[in-house]
Amino acid sequence: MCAAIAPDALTLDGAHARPVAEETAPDENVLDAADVCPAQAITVRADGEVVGPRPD
Amino acid sequence: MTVNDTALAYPFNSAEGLALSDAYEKAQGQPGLLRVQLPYGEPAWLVTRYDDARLVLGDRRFSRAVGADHDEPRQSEGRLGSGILSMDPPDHTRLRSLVAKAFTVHQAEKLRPQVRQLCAELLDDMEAAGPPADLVDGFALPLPVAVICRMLGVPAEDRPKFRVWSDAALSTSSLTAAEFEANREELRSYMRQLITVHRDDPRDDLMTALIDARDNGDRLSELELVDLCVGILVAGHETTATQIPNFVLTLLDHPAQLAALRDDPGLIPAAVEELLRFVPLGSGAAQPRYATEDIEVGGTLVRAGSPVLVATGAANRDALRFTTPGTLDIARETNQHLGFGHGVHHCLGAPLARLELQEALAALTGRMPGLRTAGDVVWKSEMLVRGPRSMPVAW
Repeated sequence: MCAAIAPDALTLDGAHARPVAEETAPDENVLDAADVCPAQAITVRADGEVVGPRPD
Repeated sequence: MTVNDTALAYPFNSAEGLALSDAYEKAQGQPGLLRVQLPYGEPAWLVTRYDDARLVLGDRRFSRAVGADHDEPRQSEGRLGSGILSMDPPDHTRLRSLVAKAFTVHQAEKLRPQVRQLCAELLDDMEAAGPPADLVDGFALPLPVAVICRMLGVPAEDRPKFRVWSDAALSTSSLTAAEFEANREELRSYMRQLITVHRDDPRDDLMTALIDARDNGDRLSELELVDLCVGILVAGHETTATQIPNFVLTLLDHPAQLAALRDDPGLIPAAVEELLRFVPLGSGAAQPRYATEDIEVGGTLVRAGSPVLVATGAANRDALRFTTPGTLDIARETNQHLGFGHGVHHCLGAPLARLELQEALAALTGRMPGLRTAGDVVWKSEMLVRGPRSMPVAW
């Protein structure tokens, strides 16, 4: 699901998804992917601060 | 039913009860995929093993949308057709993103106090009326209906109406294609009228948010808006309403596990995951995936254009993935079951369903330690989901 929402940043590698690169440009899709991950397995950081998943 | 020489008649499970057919375990031990024939549509490959299930559900080379161009394998004459479950990315992603934020773990968690209170009120009413009571009508159904109605913005008083429609939408062989179609149109026109009411009088609910996405963002068509609301309403209550009595019956069948749960309510989240793994909700696999290129799955070459059905209930009992898969163990660790599916169509409402199931079990085990059946369970027949239609209980 996350790979469908943010295909530029996340890719499916077998059964699991992984980031395409360690860093990505600021991207609303990446934050969306972090918000909706059923396993809450995606953390997005900007300058060391956690910015996703967003609390609301 | 027409069955050709090589395809097995499907589904295997009997509609009454929650047993998993032995045919699945047998299939898991054999190389390759099974060839099956459903009551309607073309023959299909059937996946029963966990790893194969994850591959087919997670790999973008398998499509739901392509099914529209085929005679899809199905249990009813009528076809569900449109809707978010019949779409592929990017269309699917566009619709799913609109609603996904309402169903995150965080959003669901905010509803926990309300859900807990609803459980308490329903059990108050059951206790006041005294035993025996129907667990389905008195508790299991009104709980998720109230939650999804409030969230979507549908009057909960209309429950008797959409119970009929929702039953029909998930029924298997009881309706002709024409009856099926008529039922869907009735449900759509009910939803259209509610959308009109919300357009004139916006509220703080999901329907208003979706109307805004259509009217101000042009992010979905009017029919997509209607079908998305219908889909959320039906999917939002039927499965949870069915699993609550299923979980209770399963725990009553495993008294030591039930006693452990009563003694330690901290086990409830793990117990819900284990019950989601252990209880095969479906009478059989549905929603075939079509291969868009030749792909090998579990030792069988699936040709482009062929449908594959995934038996998640069987995959959840795959001995290669789960130790003692046929044993209910509410303390099981790292329980990556497929009860909510996998991949882009992984259940949208999973966080909400988990929360409702946890609160329902907590309320029932906490307040009614003597809960037991008090008469014959009447099973739903001819439905995609299996479970009691009514279940008399005492406590």
